[in-house]
Parts: sequence; C-alpha cells; structure tokens
Amino acid sequence: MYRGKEGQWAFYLHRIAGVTILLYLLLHATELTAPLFGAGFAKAVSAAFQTDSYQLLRLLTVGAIIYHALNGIRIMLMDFTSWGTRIQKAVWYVVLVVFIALYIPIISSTLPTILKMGGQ
Amino acid sequence: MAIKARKFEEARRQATFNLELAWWVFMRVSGLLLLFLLWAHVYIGPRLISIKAYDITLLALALLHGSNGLRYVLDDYIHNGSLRVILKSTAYLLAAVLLLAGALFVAKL
Repeated sequence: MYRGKEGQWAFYLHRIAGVTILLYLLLHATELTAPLFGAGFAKAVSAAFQTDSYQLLRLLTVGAIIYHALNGIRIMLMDFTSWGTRIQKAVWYVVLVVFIALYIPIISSTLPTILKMGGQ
Repeated sequence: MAIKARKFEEARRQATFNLELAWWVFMRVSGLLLLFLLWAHVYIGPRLISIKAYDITLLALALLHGSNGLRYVLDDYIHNGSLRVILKSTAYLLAAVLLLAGALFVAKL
C-alpha cells in the first residue's frame, strides 16, 4: 500500500503537511509568547508577523491541517478496522474530494484580502 | 510484569511494554483529540483562550504529536548519525522551551 501508488502519495503528502504544520506551530507559539522574552523581541516578532508572506503561510497551513486531519482519519481506519486497508485507495480519493470542498471556499474568502493587503 | 534479565538486549526481548508502540498509539489518540481541540481553537478560539487547562492541553498535545512526527521524519531521511542527534536535540529543546513559554503565558492570563 505504500509502494508507488495512491498510498505512497498519501504518505508523502501527510509528511509534508505535518512538517508544515509543525513549522507554523513553532512560529505561532513564538508569536503569542514573545512578550515573555522582552519588549524588543516582541516588537520585532509582531512586525514580522504583520507581513503578507506570513498570512500566506497561515493560509497554506490551513490547507495542510485539513489534509493531515482527513488523511489521519484514513490512517486510523486502516489501523483500527478490518476493512480500512481494503478500501484505502477509495478513501484517499474521498479525502482529496473533501479536502478540495473544504479548502477552496477558505482560499477564495481569504486570498483576496491577503493580496489586497500586499498592494497597499 | 517485572523484567529479570542481565543484559539490556535480554530485557528488551522480555519487555511487554514497548515505548515505540506507546508512541504509535499516542499518535492516533492525540491526532483524534487534536482534530476536535483545533477545530474549537479556530472557530471559538477567543472565548476558549482563557481556559487554562484547555490551552495547555492543546499546546502540549500539538507539540508532542509534532515533535514525534518530526522524529519519524528525521529517522527516515537523515542517515548521518551525529547530524541526526543534533537535529533531534535541537527540535526537542525548541519544543520544550515553547511548551514552558506557553505554560508561563497561559498561567499569566
């Protein structure tokens, strides 16, 4: 199931999404706790997080979280049910369809705002 | 069950509790919990952010799930032993600092 076909792609995407989320989590936790490390650090951090590249990273992370969560459910179905592995390919296509259905509306509602911010 | 063994290898063969298995189970359980906790964090966040136990649980689960996931990734792709140790230590240290900072931040709220 992990050799070259759908399962392999599901696995790679899961890892890439996971590392993206962890990177964002580190930045997000730094963002919130920056005042603990001094006012100067807090000021520099808050300036860096106002940029639209950070807003784009946030949008990307939302997508990563949606995929990682949906594929995580697929993994649990494979691990904890007797039928999960048998239908894992079909389930992965369901994951992709649900991912697109959830993510496209979020992109279309936030991306214009982010890009307008950059134009100012 | 107590382990009666003279060598580490023997002890490991006798062990009924396996740390790697515990992490495997943790990844599934915490993943499922994070699904609900994160949903609430995003959609009703401003009202939840002052519930200390909730925030600490979310941060701790996310950091543990994330650093263990990173451990899997580093174990798979970094073949240079000493580099792997350096990268893992850095990641664990960073996670520990952020968990501590997060706990301090939440305690002050």
